[in-house]
Amino acid sequence: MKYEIEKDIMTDNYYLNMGPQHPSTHGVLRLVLRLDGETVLDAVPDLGYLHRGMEKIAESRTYSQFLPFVDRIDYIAALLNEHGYCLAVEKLLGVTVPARAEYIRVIVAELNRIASHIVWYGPFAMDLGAITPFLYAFREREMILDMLESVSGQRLTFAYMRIGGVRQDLPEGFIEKARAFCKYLKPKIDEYETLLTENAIFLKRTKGVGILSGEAAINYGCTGPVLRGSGVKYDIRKNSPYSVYPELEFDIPTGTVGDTWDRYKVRLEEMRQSARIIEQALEKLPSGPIMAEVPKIIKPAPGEAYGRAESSRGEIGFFVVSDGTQYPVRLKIRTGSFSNLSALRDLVKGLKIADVVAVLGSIDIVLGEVDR
Amino acid sequence: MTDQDRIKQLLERFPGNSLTAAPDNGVLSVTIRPENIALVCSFLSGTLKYDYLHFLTCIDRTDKLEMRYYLYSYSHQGTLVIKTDIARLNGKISSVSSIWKTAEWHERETSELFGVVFEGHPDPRRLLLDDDMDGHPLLKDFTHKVLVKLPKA
Amino acid sequence: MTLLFELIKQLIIAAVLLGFIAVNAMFLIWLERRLCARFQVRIGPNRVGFQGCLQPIADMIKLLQKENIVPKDSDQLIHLLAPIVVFTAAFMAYLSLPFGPKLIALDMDMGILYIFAVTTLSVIGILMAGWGSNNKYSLLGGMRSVAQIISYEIPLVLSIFGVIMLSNTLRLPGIVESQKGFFGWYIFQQPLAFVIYIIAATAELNRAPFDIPEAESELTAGYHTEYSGMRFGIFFLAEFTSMFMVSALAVCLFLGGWQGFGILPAPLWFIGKCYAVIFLLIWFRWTFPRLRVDQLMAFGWKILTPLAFLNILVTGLLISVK
Repeated sequence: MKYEIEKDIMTDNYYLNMGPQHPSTHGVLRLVLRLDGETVLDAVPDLGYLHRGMEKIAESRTYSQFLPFVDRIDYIAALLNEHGYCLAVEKLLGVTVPARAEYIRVIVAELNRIASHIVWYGPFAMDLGAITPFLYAFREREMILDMLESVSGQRLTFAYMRIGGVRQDLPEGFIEKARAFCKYLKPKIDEYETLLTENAIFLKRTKGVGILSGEAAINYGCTGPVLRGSGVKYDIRKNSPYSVYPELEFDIPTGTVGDTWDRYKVRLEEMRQSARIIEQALEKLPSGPIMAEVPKIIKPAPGEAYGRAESSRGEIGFFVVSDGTQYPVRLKIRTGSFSNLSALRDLVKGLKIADVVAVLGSIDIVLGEVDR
Repeated sequence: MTDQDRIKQLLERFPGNSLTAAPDNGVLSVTIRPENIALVCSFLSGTLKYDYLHFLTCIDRTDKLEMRYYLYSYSHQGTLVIKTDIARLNGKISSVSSIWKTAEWHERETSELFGVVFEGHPDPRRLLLDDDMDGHPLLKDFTHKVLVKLPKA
Repeated sequence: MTLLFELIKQLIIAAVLLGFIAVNAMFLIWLERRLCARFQVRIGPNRVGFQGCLQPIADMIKLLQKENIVPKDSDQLIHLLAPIVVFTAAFMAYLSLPFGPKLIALDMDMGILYIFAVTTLSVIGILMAGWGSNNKYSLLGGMRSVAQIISYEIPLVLSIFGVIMLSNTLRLPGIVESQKGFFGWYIFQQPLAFVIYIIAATAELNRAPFDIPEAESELTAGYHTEYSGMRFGIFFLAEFTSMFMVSALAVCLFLGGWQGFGILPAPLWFIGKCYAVIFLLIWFRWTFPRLRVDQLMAFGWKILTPLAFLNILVTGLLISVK
């Protein structure tokens, strides 16, 4: 008897709709996956589920009225956004911010950066199936939010910075509290590393997964930890300094390969560096006014300015165009997540479904920032 | 190489009055005619090594649209902005997404919000808005039946 | 008359086992929630009853009240039957678990073979759930589960060969009785087999780090995505049922079964040891990240299976040398 082996068994690709409601698309991202079994052939991101028209709203608000909206662009790192926005408008106005205000800004912004990286760390571990690190990390986040609440009165959308300074001075006892926290945080970050870094399964899931080369990262406009994970040593705080960062000492951690693991290591190291920055800033905090002389109604001279800051997800930039009235003609918000996410499609081709989740987690997007 | 040298190179490469380049507020600013955008951009990214596009966007001046391309170079740390004007309704301009991949999404966004047509775009679908939405929201005269005018304070 | 008597007897046995399973599952739910809270620097449920001991009952009532949602385009019958099949497969295995000397529902000559044969049936239920839900996530979860359980069945069964060779019997009470004294436990003679067994059993249970069939962050909930209310509850019950079963088997094979030291009665020793193994499983679950599907397969076939064979070889050599 003769057996014939069917050589070309027909298999078909199929589509899987991941999101907008899915536990690990971090919000309302929708990914249309074309799959061959478990292998991803294509992943097309579909955006816009959180599009609120921030840029249109800005055109009908005065410069100071728009500030609370800025918080809601990237609600995880609100103070870093505020910093970028204030820089842009101050550049347009030509205002010099008093030194104390700048120091306070740096302190709260770096605290917010740590909190934001914590919000990345926990869910990223969760994406990989480890649930416990999430709760360890959120314990520290709680402390940061308590501190920021004592400064600004809010826990998430702070609206603390003002064009020309900050709203109010640091509360009594804050400096000691922040100093103690920085001391407390460093061993805790080591603890995060103990939970994941040397775990064999974690290494298997992240090493060599989703490799983004340095050139590709630049070409895709990736910034922040994603760019640095790919080995490009670039940080706006260092390379195009703003605020009082030139007076503070810190290192820029970089990766070598540009895989998920490198992006993970870069972020953890950044948390340590942020703690270092805060400690120095607390040390150097000068006395003096916390607000520059800024008119009540801000009417910048006609012109345009682009102010940018290093957010926890990359470059947050505000391109402000003024025509001399109290409303901006155009306000373009350039966000880190938006450009970083555009690299995803190339990163996940040929990987498995589980890797899509890991890579997406390592890019660290906030949909409010992507859609605006 | 300083900004001055780069201006010289630009003017040599694009003679005549097709291009003006001058520092403006500390940023090297290059004004071009829209039909030259692809040529200028490939020159900028190739010879002058502007390898990173911060963003590109559009400003509605009610009589025309102004395009802005913010460039940066990781190799010489220089910033450059390209300015060009296009027609307000269905303005056309070449896509630069083959030069900087990041432009792909920025162009899709600008296209749906301002109605600018990017010729040669590899994937000219909408990015943020609904597929059945009419109009281009960031134009100054945009109205929509569900929009309510903001009350005067 | 004898037939009727036999029937009533069997019903009572089934009822007793079912009662044990239900109470045990509730305790396990509480235990898992409290333990995982401890692992995660939390407190866990401690409001309902003493230290939250009534929490599982509250959970159960909640599940019972929930609406049973059946997807419109699903294969209704298969969708309905799937949780029952999964639970039955786990439940049947209890028939030949020796809780103590003579405390066994049916003392089969090939008890261990029977348990493995029956528990594998849960694959069918899981595939039914994946297929019947008419949902791609469910189907993917079902497929993953089948591939995983079949692959890990091999090292699992191979790992106990050493024990069978040492004890010369397939009867579970016989295996237990052959382990005399603390150092007679087979874990000391078969440490590698024990490790392989625990790993493979974790995979069989679809528990982290091998929980890829229900990988929450990838497949939302895998094969039980489309289940709600009590049907979901039955999947849950089945999970805890087989968790106890797997631990009980580990206790019988490697940890001396019901044999203990001191005055405690044998069944208590047995259950206590089971909980020790369950504690280990819970500890795994809340510590490790999840493997990827291809890594899981590679681990099963390339590492665990050869190791299990090696274990058989070494055991055989040692026995023949003796």
